Amino acid sequence: MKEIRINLRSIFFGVLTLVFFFSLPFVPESILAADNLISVNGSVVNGTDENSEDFVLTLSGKEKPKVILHVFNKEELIDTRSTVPDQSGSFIFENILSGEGLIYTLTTVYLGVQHSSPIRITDQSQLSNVLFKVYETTEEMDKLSFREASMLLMNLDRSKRAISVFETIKISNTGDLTFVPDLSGENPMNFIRFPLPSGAVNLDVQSDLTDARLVQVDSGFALVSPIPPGENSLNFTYVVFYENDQLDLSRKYREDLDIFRLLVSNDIESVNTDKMKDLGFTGIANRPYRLFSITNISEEENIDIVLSGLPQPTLFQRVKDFFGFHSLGLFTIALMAVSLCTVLILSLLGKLPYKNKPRPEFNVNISSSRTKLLETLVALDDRFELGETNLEEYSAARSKFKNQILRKWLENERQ
Amino acid sequence: MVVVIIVVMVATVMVIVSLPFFLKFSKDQPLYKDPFEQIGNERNSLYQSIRILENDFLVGLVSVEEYQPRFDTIRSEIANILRLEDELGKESNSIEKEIRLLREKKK
Repeated sequence: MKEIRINLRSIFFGVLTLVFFFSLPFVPESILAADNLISVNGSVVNGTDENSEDFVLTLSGKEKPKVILHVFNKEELIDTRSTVPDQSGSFIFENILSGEGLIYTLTTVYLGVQHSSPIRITDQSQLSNVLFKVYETTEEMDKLSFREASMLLMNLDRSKRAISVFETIKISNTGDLTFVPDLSGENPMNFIRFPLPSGAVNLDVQSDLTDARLVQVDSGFALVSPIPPGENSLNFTYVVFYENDQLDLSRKYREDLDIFRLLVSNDIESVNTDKMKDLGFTGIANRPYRLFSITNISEEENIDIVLSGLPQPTLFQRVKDFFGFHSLGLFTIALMAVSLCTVLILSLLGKLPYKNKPRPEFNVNISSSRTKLLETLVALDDRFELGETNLEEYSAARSKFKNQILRKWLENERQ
Repeated sequence: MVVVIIVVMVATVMVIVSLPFFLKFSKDQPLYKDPFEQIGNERNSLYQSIRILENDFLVGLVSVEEYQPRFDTIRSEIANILRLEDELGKESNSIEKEIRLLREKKK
């Protein structure tokens, strides 16, 4: 019998080779395309005390931030690294994958405030000597203001009496400290607040602030996120409903505001506002909007905005909504069914008007007596003689009634 | 626009479906409106029957025994129709006379 020798090492490497080839389709393309490994380096600096010579020491003296690097391939997170900067604030991440379409995000948390900085690999120069600014914090709001606010009345749905509103506000922090709201509850006014019209729904907020969080307050919402120095924007949309043809969108901002703009679509007939200037029409996405503006609005100053002449739902839409038919097809079928039933019931009750209904004075039918038919003919001749009927009408009616008498006579004769 | 098209379609369908309810079809409605036209048609129809019977007899389709009783029947019907036609004319004149009398009476 021939001896079979099994080389375990050969089997191991064979299996490894098979696993490698079968796993190739599951490896992201960008990794396969990676031609080299790169390093990402930079330093974390204290933006609050930039002019001081020892601003890096100040940073290291209080709290050492941890720097985190995330690498994304499209939406998928493919690598995460973290490091603690040295005494000078410098950090470096080595052997990082590079490839087309990869996105790198640097994040650090300093004094409880998160800072992020997205970098795209297409710009290689951004990956070295990254200057990562972090700021000391404050609970004081005196450096915060609203630079400009715009309100765009986008779509008007007359069937639902609803207006879609888009608002954008630029929040300015002119200081060198990150504003951090006091969430302990001791100072409930320590938030930036944004007014919303009464009954507004479907609020959707987008912001360039890192970790933007909102809380609902009495007449709108408040931003409870840290606001770093510089300019930050907040965009939000919502839907507001009106009951009659008017809607009050008047508002007060709790911060000073440089400029407020209102853009109104053509669907709204008139806008009543005491203080705002009508600047005529402007175009946005090929749609004309009427532009109103007001500048230098002080804190708690009321901005009057009353829309009037708002379009109402048509009768068709009201009926559709009343019966809860959201589908046009279903409504049509129901309408046809109701209409046909009405016609059927009316016809059964004998209420439908017949074609060629005779006049009251000639109210004779096929079973009327000879005497009655003769009286009708006499009345017909009288009316013709007086000129109350024309020849065509007279001849037709006369032969009709006379033939009716003759037919009756003929039937009797045949019996 | 879609709503208008649907409404027009619904209205058209309704009119077509409900048309029979609006039109008056009486079971008593006569085939002929004019009795003179009716009786004239019946007379012509009998003359046609006589002609067909004569032709059938000439070509041998109908025997002498069969021909004579059928001819007598049709002839009798024609006589009856002619009488009726004559009397219908008289009845028509009578109606006119009655109308005149009634109108004079009213005056």
